[in-house]
Amino acid sequence: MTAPLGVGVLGAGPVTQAIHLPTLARLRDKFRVVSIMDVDKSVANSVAARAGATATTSEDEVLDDPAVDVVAICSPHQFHAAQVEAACAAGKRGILCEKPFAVSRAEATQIASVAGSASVALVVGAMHAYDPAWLNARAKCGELIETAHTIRSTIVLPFNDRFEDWATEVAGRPTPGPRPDTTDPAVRAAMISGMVMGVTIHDLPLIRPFAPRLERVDFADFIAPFGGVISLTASGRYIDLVTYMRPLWRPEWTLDIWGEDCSAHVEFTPSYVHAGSGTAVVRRDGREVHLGPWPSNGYEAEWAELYDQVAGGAAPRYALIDLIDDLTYATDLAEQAAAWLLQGDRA
Amino acid sequence: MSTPMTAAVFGTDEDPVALRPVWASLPLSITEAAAPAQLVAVDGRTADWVADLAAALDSGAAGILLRAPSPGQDPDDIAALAVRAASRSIPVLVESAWATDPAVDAHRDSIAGELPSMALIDVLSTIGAVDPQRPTLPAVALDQLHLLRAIGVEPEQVQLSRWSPNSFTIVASRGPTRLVLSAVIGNCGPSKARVSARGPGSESSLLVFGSSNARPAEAERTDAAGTVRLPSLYESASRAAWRRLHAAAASGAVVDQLTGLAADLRRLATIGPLS
Repeated sequence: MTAPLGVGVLGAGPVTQAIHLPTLARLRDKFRVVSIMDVDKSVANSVAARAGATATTSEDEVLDDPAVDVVAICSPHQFHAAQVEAACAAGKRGILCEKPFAVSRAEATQIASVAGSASVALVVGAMHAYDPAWLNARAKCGELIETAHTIRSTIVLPFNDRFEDWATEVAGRPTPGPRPDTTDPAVRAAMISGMVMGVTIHDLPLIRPFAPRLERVDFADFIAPFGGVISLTASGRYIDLVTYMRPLWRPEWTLDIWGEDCSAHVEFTPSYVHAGSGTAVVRRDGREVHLGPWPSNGYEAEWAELYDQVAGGAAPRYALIDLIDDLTYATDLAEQAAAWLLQGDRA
Repeated sequence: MSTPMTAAVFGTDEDPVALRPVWASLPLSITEAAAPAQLVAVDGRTADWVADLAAALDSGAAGILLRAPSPGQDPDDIAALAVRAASRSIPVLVESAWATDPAVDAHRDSIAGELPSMALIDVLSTIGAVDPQRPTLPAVALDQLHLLRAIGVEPEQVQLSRWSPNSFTIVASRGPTRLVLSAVIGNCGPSKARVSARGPGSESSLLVFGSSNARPAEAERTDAAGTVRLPSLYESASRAAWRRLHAAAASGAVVDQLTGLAADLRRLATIGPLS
């Protein structure tokens, strides 16, 4: 039996604490957490202690540690690219990088090039792309790649802390910044861009294969306190993205893909929770096929994917070019939605 | 004890066969008769429904049910008919796919009271591609406006976000509330419409299946304490419409739904391909 892979974690905030450590705790046959880095020493110490790992505030210490086989990059977005490159340069065997794994196509291409030449397995933490409900639904409605005409993502959620607190006990939760002035068009544009890169991005890798060529944003608006409506056209298909985050407890996270002869409806669990997979309904010829739920979610599946690539030499489910294209799709959409909103607010 | 009134289809060659089960479910209120009848149905799906409605108002009918009016008519003509109906104290009810569902009427107060505090009102209609009664997308848009009107929402700044032969998205506002009206024709099971009104601390949703049978709408209200499922009502929208028409005609109540219809047609006329 192969020894579990050693994991080093860069960034020990709520994502690491509520998502990755509980997930890795269920995959002890595959992974053991070796080292945890955070710029806040007390957070690093607290989180490392609960995982039985070494604490550090130094990224280099993690990357230089020979017991670290794979690196989980859970730091703020702007550090992802440099950390992926550093992990590759340090000779690590695999990387799980939280989304977005870069902030531009140029950066993403550079990362993919480095990871490709170093033969490092790279998995982006897009958990819905690994959710068994989605993967099974997709397998049962393959014709929608050709026939889908309308797609809709509906993401209505409470704020993250509600779910973080059920997955773990968060140490050092970041203090919220001042409330932005959402009457300022520039702020609204920045927030809708942030919504795309922080929330909508969960489903964009699922949508992109059905509508890969982003043509235009037809409408965009921000909804306070955090959300928005974006209508877009891509590859001749029509996509509505409705997102609304607010204090109310009730979550609703769905993805619908409609064609003339088939449709798929997927319901996902909220982020952070470990409540098994989503569920799906595929409709065809007047019949419905209900799929799921499965006992584990996309978080486990993405780590299992990394293990299979690193320890088993498995081919990646999503190639590097897919990761680049996913990232570019999101950044382009974020830019266009922000531009549309600015234009609309000026009109 | 209600007063039985005669009912008939007016102004078209439509066989009343589809209405007989509805009338038969109101045996103490309605009996089928040959025209002229006290209560008449005008088929709004025909090209000449405005003329038919005008003739029905002149026929001596005590009440008129305008069924599924299609868009494309001049709103001013409808408004003029509303004035004529009011001057003769003839109630004219509009039966449309979702607004007529009895749950809309029964739960309006539970839902409408919270609407001013909502940030987003989202209406999504999915129309089965194989539905033999499949409406056109403009008719769906009109039905959505009816539905919103029925729960007390009159959209402002209506604009078409996009349109295709299979779907549309309309955006609008009402004060600080963003409205999204969208529809899809596809392989999506029974036709239905869902209104979701979402606010920071509460939300309401109403899922309505249309007027063809008595499948009950699903109405819910959610706040910090939990979700309340409002009572289900196993009455078809058609039966509810005829029951209301009979009650209005029998009591002499003033019911004007034509003015609202004219306003909705004006809104629709502002958004291009769906007018």
